Amino acid sequence: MRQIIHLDLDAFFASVETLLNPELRGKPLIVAMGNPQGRGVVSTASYEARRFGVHSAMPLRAAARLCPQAIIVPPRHRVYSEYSQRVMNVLHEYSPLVGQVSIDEAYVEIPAEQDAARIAREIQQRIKTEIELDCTLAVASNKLVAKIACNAVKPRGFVVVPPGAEAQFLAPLPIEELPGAGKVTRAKLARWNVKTIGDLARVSAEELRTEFGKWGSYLHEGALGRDDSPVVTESKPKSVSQENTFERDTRDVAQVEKLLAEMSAGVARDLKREGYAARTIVLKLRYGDFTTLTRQTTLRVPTDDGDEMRACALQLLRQHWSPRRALRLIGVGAHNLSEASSARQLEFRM
Amino acid sequence: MKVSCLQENLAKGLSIISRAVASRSTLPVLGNVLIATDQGRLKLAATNLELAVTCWIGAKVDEDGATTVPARVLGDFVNSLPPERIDMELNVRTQTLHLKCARYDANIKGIDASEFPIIPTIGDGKRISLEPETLREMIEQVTFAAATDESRPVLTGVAAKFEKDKVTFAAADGFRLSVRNATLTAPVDQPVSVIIPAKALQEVGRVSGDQEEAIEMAVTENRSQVLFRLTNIEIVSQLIDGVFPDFTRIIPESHATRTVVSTAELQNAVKASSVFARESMNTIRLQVAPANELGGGKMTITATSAESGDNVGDIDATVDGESVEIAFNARYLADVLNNLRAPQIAIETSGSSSPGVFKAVGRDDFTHVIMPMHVGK
Repeated sequence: MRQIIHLDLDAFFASVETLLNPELRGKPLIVAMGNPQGRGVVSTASYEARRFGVHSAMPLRAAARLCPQAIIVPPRHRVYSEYSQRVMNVLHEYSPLVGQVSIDEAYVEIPAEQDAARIAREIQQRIKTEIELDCTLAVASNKLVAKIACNAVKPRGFVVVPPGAEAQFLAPLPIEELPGAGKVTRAKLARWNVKTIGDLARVSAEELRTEFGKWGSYLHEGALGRDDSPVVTESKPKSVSQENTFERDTRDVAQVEKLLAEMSAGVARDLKREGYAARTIVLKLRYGDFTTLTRQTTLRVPTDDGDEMRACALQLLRQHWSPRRALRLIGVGAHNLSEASSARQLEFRM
Repeated sequence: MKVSCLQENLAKGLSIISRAVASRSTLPVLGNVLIATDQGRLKLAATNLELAVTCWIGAKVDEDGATTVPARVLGDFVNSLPPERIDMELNVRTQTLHLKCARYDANIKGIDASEFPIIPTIGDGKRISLEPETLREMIEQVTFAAATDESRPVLTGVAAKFEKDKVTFAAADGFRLSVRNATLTAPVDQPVSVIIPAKALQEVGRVSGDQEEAIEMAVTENRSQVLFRLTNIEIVSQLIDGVFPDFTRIIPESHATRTVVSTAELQNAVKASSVFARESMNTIRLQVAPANELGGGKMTITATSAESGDNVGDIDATVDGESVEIAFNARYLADVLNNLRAPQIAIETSGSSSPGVFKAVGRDDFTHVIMPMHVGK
């Protein structure tokens, strides 16, 4: 039987901000870029702010309406990365199988002969005392159940789902808690009157397969709390990208080009740091009416060079954007990544 | 229109013109093939506006006429028919082409031939006569080095230069250069220098397999198009506007080492190493060591992959000069080796970051240059 711990740092960005500025303690706090009149989006809200209905990914303007007294601070990703790294370092002391899935979330696989519940307790304790952060941990026999269980007991939660009790544990939880059961899936599930994961478990695998194909099998297995996906310790990024929403829709060529140039340089920096080179450069444009288009160019040789990336992005922009249409958002991405091997094809000068 | 022809002839004709059919065009008629009677023969034509291919096949014409039908539909249908006579009849009012062959029947909906672009023909201007076998070889040895991406349009073409009784074809994609010279059977009065799309030349090479008589080439007065006339086939292509870079500067004038190896042996060694080169940007290393008291000269071909492993291959070499270590893209090596047409290859190098020159031993009409890979430590 496998033993998986899922760890989720509670209101991570907001907690770090509070840690660094104790005056914020106990107050509703929103970490977000931009101002309440503008177009920012909530990155994280403290639990005090969440009480007012504020949640991440919500437009900042809406959040400010729900909780006008909230203190809004801009995100400081470098600081959060540092804290995140410290947490991961603690996890690595217990097992080499640590799979970090985001800045504030990770899975740890504990060998069968060890007491995973005791280890999880210890991790929670140490993160509280050594790093002064709250987190929620769940122990289960697979990643899926550990993740769902963790979400179910946040914040400062702790739960152990004993082997064999997975389906029983999931059954009463709302179907939204099953990863992958998005709006579209839920709408289709409505015909079996599925409200909880338990309801889904009662639908036959056959019927789900007919409706959803391969995905149906996943839903069926998932509803029963079965999952055999491994803990992925190191994942190669598929792409590196940046995007930005303008404060106001813009037709200003100079402004757009300047931002694009900065973002391209940023993407190149990220690529270099990770040791990758990209062959495909993608430009993303979103107009004022939310029409979104992506245009790409494929290079002959993968690059991690900022100048080349900027030239490609600008060329795409000039080809595909007419300043007659105001832009709401612009993004640039590097796809089709390969390891920036030490080998490089030389070119003629011609 | 009422016409009969043999299934083999129609299938072959449709295959000849197939590459000129526009695959995704906003103009539906460009996805069609023009079928027209022409002085007792059947004319088939397709164009994507860059390239046009026309071919004539033998037919029994009962009633003149013309139409266009979707090339894919007609081609796929004809290819599935038995090798017998096909009778075709056009319903002019509905522009539907009725086909009958053995016990098969089809009605194919077409578009009026008047909507098909007029394919330019070239008047009785100056013609250059080309020996088909030589032209095919030149095309094979040069076009593979042309660029396939459009970032520099001139590099997708072949620079063709005719002067007196000499012809030179050259193509380069920025990483490699292929140059082939030949002698013309009949000298030209005035020098001609044009950039022909590599794709158009590849078509000329592809459809000229059976050609025995000389191929005629002509350039329009305004230098915008080139025509190749074969027996029963005409290919017209737009020329590429622009200036081809001076490739003679790229060919090194001297070298530090000249290594001669068997083309076939190197081909095999490169093929073996390619297996391991896949994950390291196709890098293959060549190490050349001159003969010494321990033995004759040799070339060692290696590739290393962090994931799958590595390999080493040794072949005999005649080395003139100092030892060399240089890395190349495996595909570029394979391309030149496959098109060299000589049992021995000479590789001239002057250091690990200088271009390598590849020549067919015993021939001085072909020069290929490849930029090496820079291999960091």
